[in-house]
Amino acid sequence: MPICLQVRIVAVMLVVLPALALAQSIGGPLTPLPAVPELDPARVELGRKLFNDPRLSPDNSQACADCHRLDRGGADGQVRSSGADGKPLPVHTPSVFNASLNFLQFWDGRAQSFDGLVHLATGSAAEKGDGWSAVVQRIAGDPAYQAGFAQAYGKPVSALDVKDALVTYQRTLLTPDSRFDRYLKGDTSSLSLEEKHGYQRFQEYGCIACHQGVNIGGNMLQKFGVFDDYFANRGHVAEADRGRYNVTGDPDDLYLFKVPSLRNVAVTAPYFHDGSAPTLEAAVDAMFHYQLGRTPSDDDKALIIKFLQTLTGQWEGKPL
Amino acid sequence: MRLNARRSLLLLATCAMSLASVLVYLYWMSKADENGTYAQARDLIRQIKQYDAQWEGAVLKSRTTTNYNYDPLVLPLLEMKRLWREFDTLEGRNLQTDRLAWQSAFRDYQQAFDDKVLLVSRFKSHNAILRNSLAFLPAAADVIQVHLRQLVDADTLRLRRITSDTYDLMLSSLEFAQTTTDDKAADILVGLNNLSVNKERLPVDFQVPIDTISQHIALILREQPKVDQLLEAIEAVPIAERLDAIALMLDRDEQAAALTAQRYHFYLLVFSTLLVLLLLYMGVWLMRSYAEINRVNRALVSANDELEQRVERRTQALSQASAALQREVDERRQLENQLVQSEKLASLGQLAAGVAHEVNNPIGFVSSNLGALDDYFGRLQEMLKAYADAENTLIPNTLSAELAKLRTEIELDYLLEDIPALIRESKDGISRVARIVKDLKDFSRVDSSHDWQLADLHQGIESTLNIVASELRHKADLVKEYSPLPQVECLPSQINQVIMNLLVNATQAMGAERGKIALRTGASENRVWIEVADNGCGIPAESLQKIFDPFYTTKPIGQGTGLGLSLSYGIIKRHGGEIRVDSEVGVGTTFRVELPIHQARSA
Repeated sequence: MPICLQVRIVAVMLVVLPALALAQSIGGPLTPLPAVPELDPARVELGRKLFNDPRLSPDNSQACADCHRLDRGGADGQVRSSGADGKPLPVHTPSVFNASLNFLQFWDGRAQSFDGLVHLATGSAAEKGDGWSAVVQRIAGDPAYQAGFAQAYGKPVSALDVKDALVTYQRTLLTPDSRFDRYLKGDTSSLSLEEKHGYQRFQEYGCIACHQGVNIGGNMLQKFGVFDDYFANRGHVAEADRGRYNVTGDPDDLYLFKVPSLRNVAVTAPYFHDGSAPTLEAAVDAMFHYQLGRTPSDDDKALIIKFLQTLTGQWEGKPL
Repeated sequence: MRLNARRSLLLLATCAMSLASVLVYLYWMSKADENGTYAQARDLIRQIKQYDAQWEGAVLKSRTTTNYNYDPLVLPLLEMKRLWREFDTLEGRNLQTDRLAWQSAFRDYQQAFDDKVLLVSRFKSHNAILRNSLAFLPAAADVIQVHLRQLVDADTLRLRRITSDTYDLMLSSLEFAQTTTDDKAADILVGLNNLSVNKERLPVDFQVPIDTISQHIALILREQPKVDQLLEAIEAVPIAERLDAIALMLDRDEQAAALTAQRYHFYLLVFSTLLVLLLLYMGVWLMRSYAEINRVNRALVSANDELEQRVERRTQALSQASAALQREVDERRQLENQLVQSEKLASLGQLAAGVAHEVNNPIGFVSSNLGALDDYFGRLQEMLKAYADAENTLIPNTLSAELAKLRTEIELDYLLEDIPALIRESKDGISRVARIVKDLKDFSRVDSSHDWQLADLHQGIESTLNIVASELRHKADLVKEYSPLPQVECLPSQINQVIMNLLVNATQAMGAERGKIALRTGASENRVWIEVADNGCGIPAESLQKIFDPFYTTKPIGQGTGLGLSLSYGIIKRHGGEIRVDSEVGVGTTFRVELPIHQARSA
């Protein structure tokens, strides 16, 4: 039996180790943010104006920038922002920063990048698409916008161009030059030893299994509650909690959410689609419990949080 | 007519338009894939296939790697989407032979793609947690071992069994990850049950790591088959096949398009040939009609020219006739005048001849009487001389004294001297009268005025000069420059008349100052000429043409008839001669008369 066991260990290791070695040789599964793309300045400026224009809400009450506040990490710090009707929206507002790098948009990933980057600040984010014609009419009636669109697009204001301007602007909303990005680019001194250890723990515990890629997340969907039933423990399950199921209707997609980007995570509390984790600690605890099925030591958790704090990038030359 | 022209123009334009549009249509149809659309489309399909392979490769790689970057599972799909959109727009423009087949091919690809996107998405979710648990298993087993070693007072054999069971379970799970079979799954399930049974006998705080590993193994047991299924499903998604089918359709379309293009090329060729032939025909036709037009035009022009010439000829004839008429009228008038003149002259001549005849007799006897008187007085003188000589011898002296006294009183000596002089002068006078009468007779030789005779022109000139001498003498000096002239066959009285006219005119041309008139004569082989040149006022150029016209005169009304030169002209013409004038205002005028010595028609 021990011999048999040893043979099996060797056999398994022979298969697993090369795989591990391969993983190491690929390099880190995290990659630095690309530079802010050079886009048509006229269109970017139009997008910026539109982004800050309350006429994009049905009742002229809210601009995109009211919830996606660039001075607050691209979100508003609320558990759930208020809609135009004053009632809280179904989900927590995610950051607009680096959103263009996510493979899908919204918590339930219901939209691809282009469309997903544009939704009206309606009472419910799900009601996107309604009211667009009214909004475009309002925009088209403004002589300043008429001139702007004529200059940037060479034609009158159209819904497609309004969206394009907004998307173009949002593509410039990247937060490069975080300390961790500098580390990835070779500046090993930009992280302290503890933070480097934190990164190591982040990999060892498997956080990196989902939070990877250029956006440290944002490129896959994952079930919330792999090792325990998050929603049963939290109670009063709402419709929005069913995640991707709301999009596909497939029972396999129940509780499936887009893995959020961890960039700027330290300045975008609260966390999760329901904003239920008010602090990084709470969020990390929840992740360990529900997603990793492991119990970290307090030291490791602290190290990971320290690492997460190095992911805060810069906007317009200033750290967020 | 105009409406007709417009209609035919419209018809022509319509014809040209339709021909041109057919040409353009054929050309358009024969343009097979000019922009390389098919090549481009094939390239897009090839690229999509490449990305698909890349995608699949990334999926397979992620299956064996623990800490994997899933971006490569996202980027190919975005690229494929972009390329497909490009292909879609490209293909949308293309002429598709079988729209239905294309639609279904597009649908099939889209379906396969969507399937694959969904499968890959699920694969990512499941694979991530599966890899995590698989990576965690050895560590979890180690943790258990470490924990169990801390358990000092336990049954070592049991502990060892738990440890070995855990390891066994872990290895089974890892093996299960490599070769997923239902048997292994059942084994693992049994192992998990054993572990949970063994766990119950351990202290509570030792149960936690075992729970953890159990959870992870359970997850592997759950997720591994799913991941395998998903992988199989992903590999089974027929994207490549769909793309191959599309590529095949592209080839077929291209071939069909090439065939169509070829066919239309042929049509185009035929059509162009026909067009060229038509053009050639039209060109020939045009050339012909142009030549016809040219010919007709030329004929027209020549007809026109002829007409003009005819008109000109007629006009000329007419004007000639008119001129002839005028001339005739003039001639007749001239003739009339000449008739009048000659009548006048004839009567004047008759008068002169009569007078001359009548005067001739007295002249004759006066002349002879004067001769006799001269003779008689000579004899008387001799007598008187004898008386004077006898006087001195007379005694008484008184008588002689009385005689002497009487002689003195009557101035006898003077008388004796003067009387012969008187007689001589009278003789001169009478001889002059006789000559004048003779000249008059010569001038007005009425009887012989129409007889052509040989005459000495100088003689005629001289007698004419005598007639106008009185008038001439006051105004000008006459210079005669005669050359020897032969006898000329002429009508002398008429020639005299011409000379007189010219002399009178020359005299009248003189101003206040005394002028000079030259009379020159000369002869050539068969012609003689007479020139009358004055240094008078001259004739202006504009008048020069008209001086021979009848009734043309510059003199005040009543002084001249305006017939003189006209008559002269007529006379000279009748002689077959010429009269010319040469004049300069302020310098003088020269008339030249030329006459043939012999008359051609003297018969």
